[in-house]
Amino acid sequence: MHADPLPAFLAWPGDTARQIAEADWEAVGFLPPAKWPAGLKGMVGMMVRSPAAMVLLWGERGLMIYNDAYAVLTQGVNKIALPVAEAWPEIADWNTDMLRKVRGGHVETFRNQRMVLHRHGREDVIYFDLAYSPALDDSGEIGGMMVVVNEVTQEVLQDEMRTAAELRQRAMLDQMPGFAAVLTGPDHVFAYVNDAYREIGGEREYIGRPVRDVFPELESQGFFALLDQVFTSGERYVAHRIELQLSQNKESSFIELLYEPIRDDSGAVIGIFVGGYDSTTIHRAVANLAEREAFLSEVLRSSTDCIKVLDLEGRLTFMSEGGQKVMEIDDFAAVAECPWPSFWEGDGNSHAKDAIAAARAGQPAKFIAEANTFKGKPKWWDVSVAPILGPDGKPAKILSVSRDTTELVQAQERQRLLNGELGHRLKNVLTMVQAIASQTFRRASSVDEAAEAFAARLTAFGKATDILTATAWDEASLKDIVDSGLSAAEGFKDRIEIVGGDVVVPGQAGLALTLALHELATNACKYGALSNEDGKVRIHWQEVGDDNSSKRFRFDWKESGGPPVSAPQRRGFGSRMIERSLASYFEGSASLRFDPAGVEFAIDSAMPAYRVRKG
Amino acid sequence: MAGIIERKSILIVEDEPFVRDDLVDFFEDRGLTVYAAGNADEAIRILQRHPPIFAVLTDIEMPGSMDGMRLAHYVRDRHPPTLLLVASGVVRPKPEELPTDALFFAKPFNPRVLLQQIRQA
Repeated sequence: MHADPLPAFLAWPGDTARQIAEADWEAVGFLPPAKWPAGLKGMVGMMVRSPAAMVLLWGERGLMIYNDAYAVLTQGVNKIALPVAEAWPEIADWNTDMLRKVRGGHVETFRNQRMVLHRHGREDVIYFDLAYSPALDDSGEIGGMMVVVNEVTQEVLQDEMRTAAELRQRAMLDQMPGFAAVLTGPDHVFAYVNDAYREIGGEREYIGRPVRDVFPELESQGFFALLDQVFTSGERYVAHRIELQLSQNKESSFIELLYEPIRDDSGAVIGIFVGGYDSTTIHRAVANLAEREAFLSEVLRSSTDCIKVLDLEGRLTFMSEGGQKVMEIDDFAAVAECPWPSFWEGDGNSHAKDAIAAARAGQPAKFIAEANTFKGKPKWWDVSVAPILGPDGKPAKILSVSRDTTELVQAQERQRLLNGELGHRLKNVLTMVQAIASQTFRRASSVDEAAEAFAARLTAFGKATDILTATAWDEASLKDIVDSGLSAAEGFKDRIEIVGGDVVVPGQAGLALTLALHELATNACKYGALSNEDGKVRIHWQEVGDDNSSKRFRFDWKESGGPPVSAPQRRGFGSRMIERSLASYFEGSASLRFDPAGVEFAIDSAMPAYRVRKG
Repeated sequence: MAGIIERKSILIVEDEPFVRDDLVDFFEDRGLTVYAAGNADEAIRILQRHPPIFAVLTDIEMPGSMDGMRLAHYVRDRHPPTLLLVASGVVRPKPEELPTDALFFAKPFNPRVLLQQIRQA
């Protein structure tokens, strides 16, 4: 049998051609191939020569006739001449159904049809593109069904994998915190938006609508022109912290934005991927930080305190702008890294070193000391030093704030001197008062009379101290002295003639003269020219002599028109004061004469201290 | 008391004439022989010219070539037994600044206390 030559239509060097020739067709109630109708021979001849997988199911039972390409599906099992239901029992229903339909004159095609085939004990999932068509016999009747089989398992699985990957990516896009959208076409129609995009963009109808329709408010904000540009140029656009004003928000937002062109296989731009994230919070934080920094640096600049930051070794690392001004430093670089205590000498130097040691130990310190500015101007500084703690709570740097307290220290010093001076004066005044008291009471005939005289003398003395206070006890105007000395004769101004230039006398002499004039005035009112209706007093002073060496000062008191004068029986306060002390005060002579026509008093002084006020 | 024993003497050195004159009156009234000077130079002339003076009362603050403190030291050196009474309304000298056995009185002082010191000495 094997030697028999193959019928011409099966003369093809393939397994299936031989298997067709050698199959026991009679056993299945069909003719051997050599006796097959011509049409069938033609179809099978074409089939065995075709590289496309084909199977012809002939007759009502669909006897299997297939080619080498189809044999791949049977995986080496010879199923030639078997009725299809026996050849593939696992899909018998499918094939029976197809046979019925095609034998009824239908054509059927399927793409990616999934089938499960049992092969070598396995259940293989296989995908096919299938085309079912009627096969005619020689009489033109439908004798069988031609099936063109194209296994696409590989392609389908790849597609499935691709789809699954896309789904995963899309899930990632959906859930990622940044916003993402896909725009297609030159009108930028939304094909996709993720959750974050919806959150920022707000509840709008996105998919299928052009971006200009979805966000009409963005027309004037430049975004659409950018999209157009990216689409036309194919160049990516990236922007940082770009401002965005959406209609649903009162305040504008800030976003980081990416427009990435999407290209097809040919490289043409077909859409734009929009990505980014909301950076409003960051933007605000940065803006706040900048504002705060500007504020703090303005504070530092404005402060007239010298604010410095030192490292733990005490070296200068920072000095405020205002501080550089008060320290008279033009360029901080000139002093940066210099040890701070070296700016101090003496006490200040040890204070500064102690303060740094204290700050290093976590303790604040304060001191007041003198130091020169950078340009050598001596100043007093009120210094406060404190540790700046690091994140670990330990001193990391040292803050030193120096305040120029020169004026305050100088004022305190002046105050101290003034207080001391005031104390001395007070004691001098008290000593004088003590002397006035003891002179008054020394030979008093009655306590009442002495008390009255003492009170009057204190009043005159008080007036004189008023004058001296105005000139810091240095000197007194003679006119003022005369005025205060005559306070006891207040009501007789029209009877007292005062003639004299503008002359000043030393303070203490002025005090004594006030007391003397007080005694003279009191005496004149009681017994002298002012004790009657028309007596007069003439007070006159002048400088006599030409050249400086012979210049003398003369002061005269002359009463006239009063009752006849007789010398008092005892020398009282006034006369002793005038005769003794005044002469000393004026370094010359002082005389009191009880002339019967009127009391006369004169000072003749060689004291050089008298000065005539010019102007 | 008066008469038989020799009267004690005092030199008052004070630049304020009115105060000086009052002290002169005070001590004269109480029977002392009183000398007065307005500055150290005058005081030294008086000390040189007169028999030993029992007590010297001097203000520290004085014009002239020598203040009261230097005068006190001068007196202690030249006339060691003199009773030294030093007064000031300005300073309060430390004991080591004063001459030995000198007494200090802050102004204003009570002249009766000084008188007592002179009488007891």
